This record gives sequence, structure tokens and C-alpha cells, in this order.
Amino acid sequence: MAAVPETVIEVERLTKRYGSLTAVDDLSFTVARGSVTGFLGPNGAGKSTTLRTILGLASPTSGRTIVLGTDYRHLSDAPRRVGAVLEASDFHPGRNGRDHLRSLALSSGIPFSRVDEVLRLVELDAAAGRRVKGYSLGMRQRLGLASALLGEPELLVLDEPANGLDPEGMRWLRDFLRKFAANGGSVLVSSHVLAEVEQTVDRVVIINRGRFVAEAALDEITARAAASVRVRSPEADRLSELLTAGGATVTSVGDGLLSVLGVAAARVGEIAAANGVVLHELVPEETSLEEAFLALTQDTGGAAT
Amino acid sequence: MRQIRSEVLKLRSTRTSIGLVLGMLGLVLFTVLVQLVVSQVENSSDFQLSAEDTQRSILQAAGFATLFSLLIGVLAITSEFRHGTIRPTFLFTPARELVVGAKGLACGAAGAVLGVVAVAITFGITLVWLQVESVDRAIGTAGILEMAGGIVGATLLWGVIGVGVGAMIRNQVGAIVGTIIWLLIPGPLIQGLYPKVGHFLPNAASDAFSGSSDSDLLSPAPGGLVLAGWAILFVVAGALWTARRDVP
Repeated sequence: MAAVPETVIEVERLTKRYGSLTAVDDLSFTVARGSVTGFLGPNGAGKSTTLRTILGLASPTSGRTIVLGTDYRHLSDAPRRVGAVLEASDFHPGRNGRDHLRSLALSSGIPFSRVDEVLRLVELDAAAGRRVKGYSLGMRQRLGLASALLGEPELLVLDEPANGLDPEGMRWLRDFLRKFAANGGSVLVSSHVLAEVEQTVDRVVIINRGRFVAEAALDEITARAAASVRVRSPEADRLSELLTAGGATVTSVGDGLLSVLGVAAARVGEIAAANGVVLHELVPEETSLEEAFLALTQDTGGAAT
Repeated sequence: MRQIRSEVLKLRSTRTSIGLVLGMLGLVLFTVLVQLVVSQVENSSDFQLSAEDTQRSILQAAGFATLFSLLIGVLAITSEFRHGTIRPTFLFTPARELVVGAKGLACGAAGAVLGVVAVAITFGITLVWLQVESVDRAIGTAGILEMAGGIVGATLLWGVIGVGVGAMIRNQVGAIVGTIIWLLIPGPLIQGLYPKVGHFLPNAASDAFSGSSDSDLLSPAPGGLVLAGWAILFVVAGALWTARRDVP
């Protein structure tokens, strides 16, 4: 038996240019088998271009992308290996949901009984006979997901699947992806809002302006963004000097209020006590993932517009 | 084969195809009846019902099916680009040239169905009309069959051509407008100015294949071969172009 490769997607030094615009710039990352990897970056960061290249719809200007050991366009029996959704609106408005899935099923020899199965799975069986024109955005998202699941693939690639989903739909998607991964599947899911995926993903790959920013387990990303401490003192200037001497980075916010980075709240209190500085306020501030994410993208020149 | 079945289902599952069939029926019926009535009223030597040219001209109304067959082909592929279904289509079949080829065959088959319907109606009405008016049929049975076969063959080939054109232009409005402009202006112009070259254009070849009375054209069989050549050229070019270019 051949060894099962550890990575399901490899992006190697991928560059994609459109005329003078460089959408993706020397980007490398991998998606590990069995993981749910979040692919994050602000709008316009190059996420969709990267995904379209991985899925063989766009050709790299340089570099390459490998999916399950080969490039997607040479993947045999693609829909049984990889399921993907790129846009929530890729349907003919005049065709009903069932026929949309059936046309895809026919093209790869998937039986119609599987069409009915995935329709039930995404809870669209009641609407399957209606033309897509009358579907809500959430229903279209689920129909897209149904098409990706037709071939019972081992890898899912989803571009902004949470767009247009209501909170209930988001929860459904989250549970679904977790279950998919628990059964041995791998997922690459993009988003421009970390909060949408933070409860779903194990790892994140962050890009901005087409370039790699970070690849890490989710908790590492949180740790990477320094937690700050808010401290108020009538002797703010003196405290600031003491803390700086103690290795912290201190910013005066005004009115005796300091924002301290690089030391824990307890240590701030100790330094103050040891030097007899009166404190009026000492608050450790949890950095949310979103802030950590924004901090990382800002380090690389702000969100692309 | 799977891809062809998938394409046939796509054609059947929207209202576009039925709309095109109805449009074709309307145009064909209108043209046949107007010509038959005119041939009765206007007793000029140019358009007598008993003349072979007149009878050919009336039967050729079935040739309007070629226009609708072309539209089926163009729409089959441009609507996938327009609505984005081309993405799931290519995700399921990453070998894009296979998709274009299957579409060509499916639309050729759909075109041939249009051709059969158009021929049945046109020929039926005309032959019954001749019978009722006690006018002799000026074209032999072999000639009638040759015309019918040519028209059905031409509608088949135009469906294939439509897919090739659509695959290269991609933009739906652009492809339709571009095709119509070509059919109306440069095509006839070249045919008029350089008839030797013009004979080999798709339109002239199609008319020849359909048994047109125009003596300037090729004879039916070579006309059919030339049109088949165009169909292969368009669909192969469309397939190669689609395989090379990024999908939006």
C-alpha cells in the first residue's frame, strides 16, 4: 500500500499576474491531511485567485499548486477526490436545484440517488424542484455545498462559504465541517473575517496583498499578538519609565492611562509595588483573534484595497 | 459519453431550448405560408408555384432552423460563462476540451432535432398544398430527400459551430451580436464581391448543402463537406482556446 501523503494541498512559490497587477506573489503554504485550514486575508488579498489556481481554473504565472499529489487538471475522477465551491451564485437561475446537481452527477457517473442524498444532507430536498431564481443566498450556499459533496470527496475547498449565511446557517456549516474533518476529511476554507472560522479551523494561513503573512496553529496566532495591559496611575510618567526599564513597551493613552505591551499584568503590579507607585487601575486586556489577525495584516502594509 | 448526457440534461432543464424551438416554429411557419400565399396571388413568371425554383425556395424555409441551431450552440456555452456554472462544470471535468467537445455533440444533436421538426412541417405543408392546388411537384423524390437531408445536416453542423463560436467569444451578448453582424454584413459582402472565395464561407456552404436553387453555389455534397470542415474547425479551435485560457 502506498504511503498516504501528509499534505493534501501544496502551494509552491505561486505567483499570478494579471497584466501589471500581481494578485499572488511568491506564495507558499501547505494544507495537512485531516486538518481544517482557514485561509485568511482581507478582501482583495488574493485568496480567490489562489484557490482558483489550486483548482485548475487559472494557470500560475510561475510556481505551482499540487492537489492530492498532482495538479488539479490531471487529477483523475476529480469530483470523487475534491469538492469545491468558489462562488455562491454559480447556478443557472432558470434551472432547478435537482437538475443542477444531476447534470454534474451525470458528468462523472455519480448516481442520481446520491443527488437526493446530498439534497437531504443540506436540507434542500423540499426546494429541489424549484428554480434557483427563487432561492435565498443561504439556500444557494447550501446548493453549492451539495454539489461539492456529490462525489464524497476527501478534500473540500470552500471560498467564503459563510457569506450570506444567517447565524443558524453558520452554526450548521461549522458543525458540518468539524464532522467532515473528524471523519478524516481535509478542508481549506477562506474568509476575510476570522470570527467566521475561528471556531472551525485548527490552522490558519494568512495572506495579504498576495503575499504570505503567517501560517500557524490557531492558538499560536493568538499568542503571537501580544496581550496588552491597561494601567492607570497618578504617577504615569514615572511608572512608564520603570516599566520600560523592565522591558515593556509603553504607550501613553493620556489622563494617566498607559497601554503596556510585553509584560503580564501581574508583573506591572509588582514593579509598581516595588517602587511605591500608586495604581488606580490595572486591567489585563485579552486580545481577540480578530485584533491579532488585523495586527498581522497591518504589519504587512494594511489591507489591500 | 457521460459528458454528453450531462450536456443534454443541461439543454433540457431550462426554458431556453423550448423558447428557441417555439421561435423557430413561428418563423418557419410564417415564411412557408407567406411564400405559398404569394405564389398564388402573384402570378408573375418569377414566382410560380409550379416552377422548381419556387418550390425549392418554399421548402428552404426549413433552413431557418439553422439559425436557431446556431443559437442553441452559442447559448449552451455562453450561458455557462454568464451564470458561472462553467466553474462547477470544469471542477467536475477538469479536462476542459472534453466539455467543449461534448457540448458540440449535444448541441449538434439538438440542432438536428430542430432540423427534423422544421423539415417535417415545411415539407408537409408544402407538399399537401401542392396536392390541394393540383400543382405538379417539380422536384423528384430523390431531390426532396436530398434537400431534407441537407437541411437536417446543416442544422446539426450549425449547432456545433455555435459551441465553437461561444467557446471563443464567451460573452453571451457579444457572441450573439457578433454572429448576427457576421451573417448580415461581411459574409454576404465577401460572397457578392469574391464569389469564388465566398462559396466556401459557412453560409454559402450551408445554403448549397440545403439544396438552394442558387446556381452560383457549390453542389449539395461538397457544400456539406465544406460546412462540416467549418464545424470541426470552430469546435476544435474553441476547445483548444478554452483549455488554454483561464476561467473567470
